[in-house]
Amino acid sequence: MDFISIVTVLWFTIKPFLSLISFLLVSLLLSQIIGHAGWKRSTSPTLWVLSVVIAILAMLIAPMLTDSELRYVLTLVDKLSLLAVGIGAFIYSWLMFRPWLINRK
Amino acid sequence: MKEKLTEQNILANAFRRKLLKYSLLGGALVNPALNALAQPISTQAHIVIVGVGAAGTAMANRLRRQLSGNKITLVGARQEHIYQPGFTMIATGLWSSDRVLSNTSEWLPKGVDWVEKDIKGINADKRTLELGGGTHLGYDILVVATGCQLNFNLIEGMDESLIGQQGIGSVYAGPQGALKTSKQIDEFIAKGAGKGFFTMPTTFLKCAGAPLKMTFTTLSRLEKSGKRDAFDILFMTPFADRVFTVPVYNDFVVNRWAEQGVTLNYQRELTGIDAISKQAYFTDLNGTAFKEDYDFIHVVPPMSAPDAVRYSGLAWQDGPFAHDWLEVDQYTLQHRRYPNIFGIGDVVGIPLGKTAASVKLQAPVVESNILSYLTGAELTSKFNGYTSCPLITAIGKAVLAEFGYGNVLMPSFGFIDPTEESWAVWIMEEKMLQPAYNAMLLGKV
Repeated sequence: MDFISIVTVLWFTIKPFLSLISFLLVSLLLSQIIGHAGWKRSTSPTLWVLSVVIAILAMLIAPMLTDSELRYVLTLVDKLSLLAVGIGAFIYSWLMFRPWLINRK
Repeated sequence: MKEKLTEQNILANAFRRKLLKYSLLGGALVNPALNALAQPISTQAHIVIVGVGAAGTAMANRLRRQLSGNKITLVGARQEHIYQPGFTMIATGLWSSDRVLSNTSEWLPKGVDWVEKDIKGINADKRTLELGGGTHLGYDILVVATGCQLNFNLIEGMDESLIGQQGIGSVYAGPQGALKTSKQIDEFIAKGAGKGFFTMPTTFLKCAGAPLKMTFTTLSRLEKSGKRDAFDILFMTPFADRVFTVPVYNDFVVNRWAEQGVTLNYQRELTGIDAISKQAYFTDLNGTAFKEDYDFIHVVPPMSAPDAVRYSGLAWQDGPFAHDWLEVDQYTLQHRRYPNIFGIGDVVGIPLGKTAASVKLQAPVVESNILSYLTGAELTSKFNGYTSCPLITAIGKAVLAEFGYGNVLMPSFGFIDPTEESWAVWIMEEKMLQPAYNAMLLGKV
């Protein structure tokens, strides 16, 4: 399968979820704007713990959301895919909650 | 500044002209089809595509883009487009039946006429289609993309209307049939014990992995119920030594079933059913019949090209596809006796390639060869037999089986082992196959 075909298929795959993706991005943006935390303040340990918990939960739930089970995450590609889900969830939740979980003193 | 006409310049210009001439000639000789693809070809040829399924729709989109000035007519009565690869997911209880349905019209390009009738026959000598009621449609080039016909009637006592009753199911019987099959499996499991049969015909069949997938997913459901040991699961293959064409996948399935306690019976063709008494009749290679009581039976019907194609004189006259499938060259997909006829999809009589994924590879080949035919060039584009099927081995994991002529493995992704069970492959089947299919319908991939 050539690169263009892969990109086309990925585009057709995410098309039904564009509204959800837009909602998540807008939520993230609003969180940053309303929270107006700036980037120089230090974060609280709670933010890191919360993000890690969300990442782990996402990794546990992802197989179930696809009508599968965690025990079927077998190959290296499967494990890397699941790890990517975890990393994505961690980054998103960290960015989402950062404005609200910083040391404001 | 005006170029000075010197002897040196004249020689240089002559050299450039020669170079240009030979480049064009060379390019044309090397790949005329590729040249033809570069810009729409103007033609008066009336192209008729028979069949409004995956293959017909993909061809309509591709040819409309590549040709100008001509008429393209699509012939087929079906108003609903059906995503057939989703039937397994419906019969497994994971998808609703409407998830595979859309309107045929939403996939068709502008500039293509749609005759909403099924053909009754083809007269290749007169270059006409019979549409019933004395109506005929002429063509210059014909693309046969009718799909295949399910011949449940060849099993004595069997009728498609029996699906969903008396423990009878079949994943092939459309979205509603697949849904009824899932309910029959639920009822079978709810009994708490019983005997389930999974069958396979002797004919070539579309999505040859489906009978295996149905066995695997039913096993998954039985294991989930916690009562697996109370059920006997039997797979009946008419062949002497196989359940699948490609040895590596055949061995995988046979070994896995041995581990899962599936009884595999060779040389058992389903030839009759008594639905009222729930008995099935199997016949071996010697013609000896065996009677079996069942609580659930998954029936895979014998298949062929539709009768309108079979009896048109366009089917193979001899060999393994004789009288049942469209006679085309397995590489160019051009009819072997009528060069203005091409075939694509489940209808063609070739050793492999009865999956939607095969259509994805066949469509550009047929497109390119039709363009070559129109320009009088040699048909250089060749189909390699590519067949693909995410072979579900349990609900939640699958093997990405991809192979071609000679049973050569043809993995699309270097990072996915074509013999390993995987969650990622399951995601492809569950989430990405339909978008890929949709892109194919529109001729985008």
